[in-house]
Amino acid sequence: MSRPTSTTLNKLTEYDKLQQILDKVRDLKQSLANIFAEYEHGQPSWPTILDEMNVLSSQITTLRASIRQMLPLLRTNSIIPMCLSPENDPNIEQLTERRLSIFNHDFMPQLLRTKNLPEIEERERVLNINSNMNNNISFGRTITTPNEIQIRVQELNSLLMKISELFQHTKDMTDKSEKLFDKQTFTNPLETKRLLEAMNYGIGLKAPDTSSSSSSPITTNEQTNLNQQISTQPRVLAPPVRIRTLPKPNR
Amino acid sequence: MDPAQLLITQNRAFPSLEYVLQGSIQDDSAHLLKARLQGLCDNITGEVEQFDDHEIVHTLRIPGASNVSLRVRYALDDMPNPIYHLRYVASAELDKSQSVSVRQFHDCCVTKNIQSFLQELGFMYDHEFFAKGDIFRKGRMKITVAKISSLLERNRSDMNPMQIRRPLTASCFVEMSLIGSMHDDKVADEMKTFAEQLKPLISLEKIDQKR
Repeated sequence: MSRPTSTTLNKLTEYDKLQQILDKVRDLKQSLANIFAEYEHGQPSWPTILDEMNVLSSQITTLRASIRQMLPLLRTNSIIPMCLSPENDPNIEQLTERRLSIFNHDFMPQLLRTKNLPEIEERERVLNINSNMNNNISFGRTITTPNEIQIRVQELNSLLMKISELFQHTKDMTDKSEKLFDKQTFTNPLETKRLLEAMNYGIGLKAPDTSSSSSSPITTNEQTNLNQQISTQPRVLAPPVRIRTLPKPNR
Repeated sequence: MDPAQLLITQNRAFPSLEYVLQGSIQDDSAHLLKARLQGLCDNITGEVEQFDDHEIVHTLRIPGASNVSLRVRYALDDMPNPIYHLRYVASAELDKSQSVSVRQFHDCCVTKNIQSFLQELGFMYDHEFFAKGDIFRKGRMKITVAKISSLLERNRSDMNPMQIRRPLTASCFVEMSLIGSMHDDKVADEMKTFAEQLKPLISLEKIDQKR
């Protein structure tokens, strides 16, 4: 592919360096082939893709580093000493593994270009802008100028103020509604007491019997009163009264 | 030992226990409690069961011993031929460790001559009241929210008791009860947990023992 320089002193080492570069290119080609093979088998998993990309990028980096070492040498030599021609060239075809058969005006500028295509550059630019914006949003970007720091601090402070106001407002609202709810009473302890006494012991339900002549003072449930009543009054007095009141209408 | 207990023992082979928690809620908040109960309780039909009962309490006074009260209750809604229901509830057991009141309980259905029969036995009319409200069920638990009213005056000639009712208070009586056969802490816990869910609307408590 390339011809070693004729400088006798550095001949071997330069040749070796070229060989190294060729090895690295071969490795890179192998890795690329692996990736394509994986893709042909089906969509590989994301971690696998990342692994492959990692390998590729490190290989490219080392390749570029070694080429850069040889830059002075490469600049003084033509690497592909060939003429443009519209004719098919089997030699080229063999070298490029049948990817390229003609060395003409159409292909050469593409192959020898050092810059990306304008469209690709545009896409890259957009991506860079986006990533910068993302960095800005997540504050991951390092700030250098004192002025920028000042602005950032103010931004953060105003945000914090807004948040704390929001919290304060919500807290006030919940406190208010809680207080209202707490103030609301659902039960009346006095009435609870009366009801429970009435239901369990009949206190308050023992109304004076107005229609009956018996002077039973059973308005309150004082045990002493009741006991006295039992001892003094014959049992017969009250019962007939009750017998007629309720069962009668049902008969 | 208890005459009333002996009297009704034939109806039940084993002593029953009633676990009770009681409380009250003001009339204007009662709908809140009912809504919550409707949400929490077993509610298949979507309708709340209502009741309107008349209960008459008869007491046998035994000199030198504690009184025995029997409660006769019937539903006013099936008035032509109501089923009379006789109930005996002892006073709650004095057990501080229990989180709910536990009391002996007996009940049975009786014929309509029960009242005259009780009179013959020496029971005396003690008091009566009306309870009208809703009943909710949650598993074995029964929760009643009832308006308690007393008779304005015991007028024998007035045969319509509906018109002579006087609400006892401006609150509804709320009782959560469960009938079990023996002491079971799980039951008490179950009731207490359910009562917790009704707070802060109502706080259901044990029966006051200070009497």
